[in-house]
Amino acid sequence: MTRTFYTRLIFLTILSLFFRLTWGQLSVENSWKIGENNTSQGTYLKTALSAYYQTENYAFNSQLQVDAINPQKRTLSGFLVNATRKTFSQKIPLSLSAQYLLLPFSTTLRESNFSLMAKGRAKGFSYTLGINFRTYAYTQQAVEDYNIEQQRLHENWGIIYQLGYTYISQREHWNVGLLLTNYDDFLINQDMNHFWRLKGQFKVSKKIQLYTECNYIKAGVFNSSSNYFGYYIKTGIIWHVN
Amino acid sequence: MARQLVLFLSISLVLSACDYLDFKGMVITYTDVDERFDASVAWNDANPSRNLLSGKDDYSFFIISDSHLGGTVNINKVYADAIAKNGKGVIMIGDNCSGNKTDYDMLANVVEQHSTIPSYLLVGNHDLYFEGWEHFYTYFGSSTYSFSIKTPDASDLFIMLDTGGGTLGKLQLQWLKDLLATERKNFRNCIILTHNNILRSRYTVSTLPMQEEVKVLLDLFLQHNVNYCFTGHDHQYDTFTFGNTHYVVSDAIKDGYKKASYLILNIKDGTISVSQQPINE
Repeated sequence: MTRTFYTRLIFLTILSLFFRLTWGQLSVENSWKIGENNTSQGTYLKTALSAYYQTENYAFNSQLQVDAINPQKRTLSGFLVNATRKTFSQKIPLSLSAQYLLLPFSTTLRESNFSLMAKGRAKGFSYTLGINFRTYAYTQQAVEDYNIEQQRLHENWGIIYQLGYTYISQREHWNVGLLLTNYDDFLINQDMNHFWRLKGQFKVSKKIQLYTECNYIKAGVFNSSSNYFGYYIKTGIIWHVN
Repeated sequence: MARQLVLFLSISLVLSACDYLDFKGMVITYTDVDERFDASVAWNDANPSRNLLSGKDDYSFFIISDSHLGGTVNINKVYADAIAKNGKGVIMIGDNCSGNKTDYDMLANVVEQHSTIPSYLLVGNHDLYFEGWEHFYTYFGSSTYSFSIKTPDASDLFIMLDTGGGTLGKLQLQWLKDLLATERKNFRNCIILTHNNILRSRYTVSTLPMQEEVKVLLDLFLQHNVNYCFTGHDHQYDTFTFGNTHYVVSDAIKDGYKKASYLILNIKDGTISVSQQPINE
C-alpha cells in the first residue's frame, strides 16, 4: 500500500466528517484504547476517528485507527468502512451490515477482512452473528525483499458473534452492559477466541455521549487449557452533529 | 427455580466427573505459560544439551501428534518404524496423553522402552489437564527448548514451543525472538514445532493463537526464514505455504482413529521433504 493510497484514505475519512445532507444524521466519534497483551511489549495506545452517517433505513460508517504506542512502530494501523441496512420491519428486528477492514500490521504484513453481520436487540439482550473472510498478505516490498513464495493466505468462513445484556436506566441517560464477543472495531478473532466486555455509556446531552469499555482476553479457553492473554480499556466520545 | 438449580448441579456433576476433558481449565489456569517457561529454562540449564550429531548428511525424524495415550499400539508402531529406518529421533508435538498421572506413567514407559532412539516432547492442551504439567516436567523436563543436528555438511535448528495454553506468553515469545535473532544465521534450516496451529487454510474449530500473536509470529517467520512449522491439535493432516514457511499439520496418532498417520521429515542434500505415513499401511 502506497503513501498515495493512505493519503486518499485519510482524505476520505476527513471528508466524511464534513459531509452533510439535510435528511440524514452525521455523527463523529473519537476513541482511545489503552491496553497490554502477551505480544505488546508493555502498554500500547491507539486512537480512532470515526464518522457515521445515517438515514431512516441505512447507516454508513468509516473509521481510521492510529497507533500512538505500539511495538511495530506503525502509525496508521486500521481502516474500516461499514454499510448497514437497519431493521427491515417490526417482524424482522435485525439489521444487516457489510464491512471491510484493513489492518496494516507491520511494514511486511497486513490483514484485510470482509464480513457480513446480522444484529438484533430484544429486551436488553443484544446479539450479533456473522461471517468473515480474512486474508493475510505480505506487502509487495516484502515479496521483493524476501523472494516470497506465497504472498497471500485466505481464512474463509470465520464466524463473528456477540451476545450481551445491557441495562438501560429508566430515563435512558445511561446504560451498562456485559458482552461476550470475538470482535471489536479493528479486531476480528477466530471463532474460538472470545473475550469479555463490560461497557458503560452516558448521555451528557442530546448531542454528546461518553462511553467506556473494559475488555478481558484469555487464550485457550475452548482448549480447556486457558491462559491470560491481555486486556484493554477503550473510552470514547460521540458527537451527534445534526 | 428449583428445576433450574437441579439442572445446573447435574451438569456440574457430569462435567467434573469427566476423566478425559478438564472443563475447569476453561476458567482456571493451572500453570501459567510464563511459569512453565521459567521451569523449562531452568531444566534446560541444568541438563545436558539435546543436540545430535549425524555422521551422514541425510537424516530423518519421525513426527507424531495427538497420541492421546490411553492406547499404545499406534505409538509403538511409529517407534518401531523409526528404529527400523534409522530415524534420528521421534518428536511428539503435543496431546501426548490425557494429563492424568496413569497416562503419563504409560507414556514415560513407552519412551523408556524405546530409549535407543532420542525422543523430543512438548505439551499440548490435553497434557496440561488435571494439573498434568507437574507430571510432564517430572518425566520429560522442559517443553520449550531448541536442539540442533550437526551433519558433515551443515547444522539444522529445531525449536520446540509450548502453546498448550493457547498462547506463547511474553517470556517464551521473547526467547523465540532472541533465539532467531542470534542463532538462526548459524544454521542451514530452521524448523519450528508446536501443538497449536498458527494458521488455518480450511475451516476448523481448533483454537488458534490470538490475532496479535499470529501476526507477530508471521513477521518473525519471514524475517528469520523459518523453513517449516509443524503443528498438531486439529487431528487432520494439512499442508500449505505462506510467505516462505511451509506449514504442516499432523494427523492424530491415537489408537482407534481411522485416519491415524505420522510424518517423516527427511533432509536430503540439505533440502527438507515431508511425507505422511498412514499407520495402517
